[in-house]
Amino acid sequence: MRESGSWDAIVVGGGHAGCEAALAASRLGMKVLMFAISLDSIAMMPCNPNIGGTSKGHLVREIDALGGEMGKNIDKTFIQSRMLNTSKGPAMLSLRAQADKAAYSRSMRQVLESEENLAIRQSEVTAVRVDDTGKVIGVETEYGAFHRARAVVLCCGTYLASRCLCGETIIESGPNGLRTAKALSGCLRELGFRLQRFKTGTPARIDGSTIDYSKMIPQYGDEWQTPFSFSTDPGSIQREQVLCYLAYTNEATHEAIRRSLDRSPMYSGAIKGTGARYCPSIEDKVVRFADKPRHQVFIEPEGESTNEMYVSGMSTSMPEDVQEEMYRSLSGMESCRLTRNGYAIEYDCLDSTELRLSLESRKWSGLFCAGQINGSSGYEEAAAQGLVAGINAARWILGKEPIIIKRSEGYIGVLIDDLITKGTSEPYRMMTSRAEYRLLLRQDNADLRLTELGHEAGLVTEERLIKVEEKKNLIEKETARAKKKALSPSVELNALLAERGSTPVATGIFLSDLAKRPELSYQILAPFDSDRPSLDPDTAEQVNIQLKYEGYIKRQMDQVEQFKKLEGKVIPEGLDYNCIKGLRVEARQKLSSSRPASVGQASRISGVSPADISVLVYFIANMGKA
Amino acid sequence: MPIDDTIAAISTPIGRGGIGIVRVSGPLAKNIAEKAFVSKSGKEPGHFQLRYGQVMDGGNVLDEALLSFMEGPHSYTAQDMVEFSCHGGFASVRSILELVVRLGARLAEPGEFTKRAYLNGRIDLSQAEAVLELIDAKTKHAQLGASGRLSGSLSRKVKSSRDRILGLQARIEVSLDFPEYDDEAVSSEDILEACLDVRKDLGSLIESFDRGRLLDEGLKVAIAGRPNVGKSSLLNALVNEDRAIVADLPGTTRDVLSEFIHLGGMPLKIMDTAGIRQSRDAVELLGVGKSMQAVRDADLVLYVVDSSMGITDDDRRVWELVKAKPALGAANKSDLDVKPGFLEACAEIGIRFISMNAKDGEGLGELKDAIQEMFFTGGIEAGADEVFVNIRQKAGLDKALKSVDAAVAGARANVSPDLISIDLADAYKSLGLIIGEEASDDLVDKIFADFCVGK
Repeated sequence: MRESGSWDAIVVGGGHAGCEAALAASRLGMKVLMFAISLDSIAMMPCNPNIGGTSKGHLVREIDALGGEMGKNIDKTFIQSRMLNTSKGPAMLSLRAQADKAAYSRSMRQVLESEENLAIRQSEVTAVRVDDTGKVIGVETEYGAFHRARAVVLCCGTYLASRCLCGETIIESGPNGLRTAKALSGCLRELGFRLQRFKTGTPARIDGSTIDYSKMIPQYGDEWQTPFSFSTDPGSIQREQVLCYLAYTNEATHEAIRRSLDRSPMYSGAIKGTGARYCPSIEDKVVRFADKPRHQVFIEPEGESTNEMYVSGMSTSMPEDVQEEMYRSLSGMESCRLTRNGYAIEYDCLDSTELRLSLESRKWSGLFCAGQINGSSGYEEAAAQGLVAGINAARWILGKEPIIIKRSEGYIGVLIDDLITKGTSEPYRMMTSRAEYRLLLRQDNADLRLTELGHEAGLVTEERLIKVEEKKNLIEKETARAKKKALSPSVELNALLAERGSTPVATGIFLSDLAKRPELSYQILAPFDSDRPSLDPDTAEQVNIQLKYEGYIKRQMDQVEQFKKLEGKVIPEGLDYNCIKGLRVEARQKLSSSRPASVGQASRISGVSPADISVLVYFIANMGKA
Repeated sequence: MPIDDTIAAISTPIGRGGIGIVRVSGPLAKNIAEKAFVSKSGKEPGHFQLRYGQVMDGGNVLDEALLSFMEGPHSYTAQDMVEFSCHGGFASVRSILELVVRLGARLAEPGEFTKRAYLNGRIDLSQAEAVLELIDAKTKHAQLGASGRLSGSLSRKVKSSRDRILGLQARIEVSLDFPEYDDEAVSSEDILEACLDVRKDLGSLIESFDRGRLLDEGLKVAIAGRPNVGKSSLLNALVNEDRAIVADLPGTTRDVLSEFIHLGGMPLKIMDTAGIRQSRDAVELLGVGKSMQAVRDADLVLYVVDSSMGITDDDRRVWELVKAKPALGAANKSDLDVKPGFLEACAEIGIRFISMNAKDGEGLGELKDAIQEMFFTGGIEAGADEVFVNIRQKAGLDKALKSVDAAVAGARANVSPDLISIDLADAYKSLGLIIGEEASDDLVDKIFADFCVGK
């Protein structure tokens, strides 16, 4: 085979994972080549036209704090932005933005192209090559070229042996009519990877000029828009907000679906892949929740330069004629025209438990994997993994220890640990309920949590780190001062309390005790706090959160301390679990196949009991002394 | 299992000694001792010192005790340790352990003190190996206990409370994770109402647990013998003498067949097999139903004979049915003349007989001493582990209740649902530990099972 160039790292795939991986590695000084099946599909959003949302918004903030690109790119290309969950508590606030899909893709491509160490190439990668020592050495393309590399990052998305289903029609293709990557799937199997078959889906797109929006409920964006990136100046992104619309399915919709269920690949048995429960198709919703008279549907623009609208909540793989009937049954869409059919897509992905927490393959050194190939779903989940894989591929080349984010440090840590430690049997979506320390893992403090790590990784400038350190100190100092501050009862104070519906005070009271009342805050009490320094709104809000939720925060921090102790107990690589007396057989098997890095990680493997963990702790402690 | 929190356990075999020791190890040990112990001299014990005083739970004196203090690293576990040496038996150590747990200690796992001793370098490898075996065995026992003991209604009740917490959590979480589906939103009032329901259930569960289950774990003693040897009189004599104590026990079951008494701090459940109709057939003598069941369940059988009548054929048939159990003989009616050959016949049966008269109480003290002696010397195996398991379960319930209380307080103060969910998660976890279930994906499963959400 013809040898065609040599690189530090090769990234296979130009989706959200591939972009972050390629950017991270090249910014860390690596010479990087990124392959994409089509250069027009770089950073493409083949499904929903938004970035962020609950827990996903957290991921984007974390990506940004670590020096990734997603947050900056959506700040440049959003057309509507909303802070969700404003009344449900500090940990739940979530930012979500509607993207102009084409602009998002174009803008990301410009960023890639302007990166000095990064080359982009359109070609299907057909094989990953390894040497006798178990090390990756490069990739082969469909044109018969061998590209040498010291590390390879696979970000193949949903393209591996993929096929799209729409009623009785089955097309062997990737998403949105793009080519599938069949050869690579076979190569991975030959390399000994266990492959799973997953399924996901997307709704039809509608020509917006054929929709009567007057029959729908408009959904507005925020008046003042919050950027995702900590380095974006909020003032610079304010813009007119485009509208989304809320509509509902009805009995006619459900009837059209029920009548044709036998033609649905979901129910005819044509689909073999496992779908995600959080992303049910409309036919699934109608069948599983038969008593619901209607389901919510959001009509969202695909961009400003097109009429196409996305129909969120109505993903489907029904036949084309049924799709037309069911979308037209919605009020306001009676005469709508479909621009693209909805479809289900099936694809191969890896068993993520075969990877390390660094996202490197346990079997093949130098081979990293990120995104939907690991069984996750979602743009943000993919980008987060891509960033970590890109950083760690570079560190591997440089002979440095990988960067691993703990569950207590970020949603990214939860995401990767869940995938690696527990594995997933359906496409994995991030959810706040998966994060056990979520009060500490807020979107507002992602910079405080992760900037230092981003700097250590080499993607965050010294200047940015210093700014964050200053902010941290300021918050600490001011929180300490405010905790000691007592307010005396006064007519003015009680007037404010009355106005807020809060019980008046008769004696002196600590400012922090007042701030804890749900109807009050640190900021509101400023007029009565004479020695308060002037703070920017973000910092003041951090102080407010520290005061307001002190007890809960303290409890979560205690839990984190316990958690860290077990995480700190490292399990030696290559430990033979079969020689550990007292481990149950099931635990031996699970531990042998999962090969956890720490006792803490071991404790999260299903089938490993607390008693097994005790035994393991002993054994490891013994090893040094025996 | 963390190794630097504070753990506590009863470290003497329950009921088997004159002294009971509750041992506490960890950073809170000293602090707990300060809160729980008032020394006579008013001085706290220094390192390696012993003080005499009272164990106090608020204003109540739990027991008189000696308190010793060993400062880490110069202690068995190399951590700060205190030991309460109190009266032996069951009640005292149990109440002190409960107090210590309430003050912030966690119940130790089997072998955990030794584990700490090893990890902190206090004992060597061979000793640790032995502990490893022990942990393995003990844990299996405890797991058996957790699933076996919690039979029937109690387990069902814990599960049902746990399911309701999960249901509430799912309702909260779905509105947090899928805010666009606002028709699923849950209000503070809903949360409060659901929490109060769970709280009520847990409260009554704890109450019934206190009243019934723990006492139920006492040493089971069956009185067996042919009719008219004085079984009922013996039961009455044992119970009457203990009347004051029995009256103190809330909710003691008073069915005809069983009574509770306290012997040296250890509860005894005495089961009378009297009231069975007379018959030539030995099996019928004892009755096939409750009487045989009582004997099977018993840790000890009191085998009653009438010394004035000697050992009759009926007596021998009864003996055949009970001889597999540890037994003590009661040679009743000592006020009458002993039948010639009685002592020889007793010797043939081969157990110890106490001469007594249930009617006037003669020999009753000696009989009680003999029961205690058999218990303490290990002639009867009333598993300490079982009692231990029970205290652990009770601690789990208390902890769950505390978390639900916090959730109620939160809902009342109108704090945001994501904070309340922290308390609910804690409660769910505590209840899970009681029934031996610890599942991390329950919540996500529940959300998708109950709610129609997703793009």
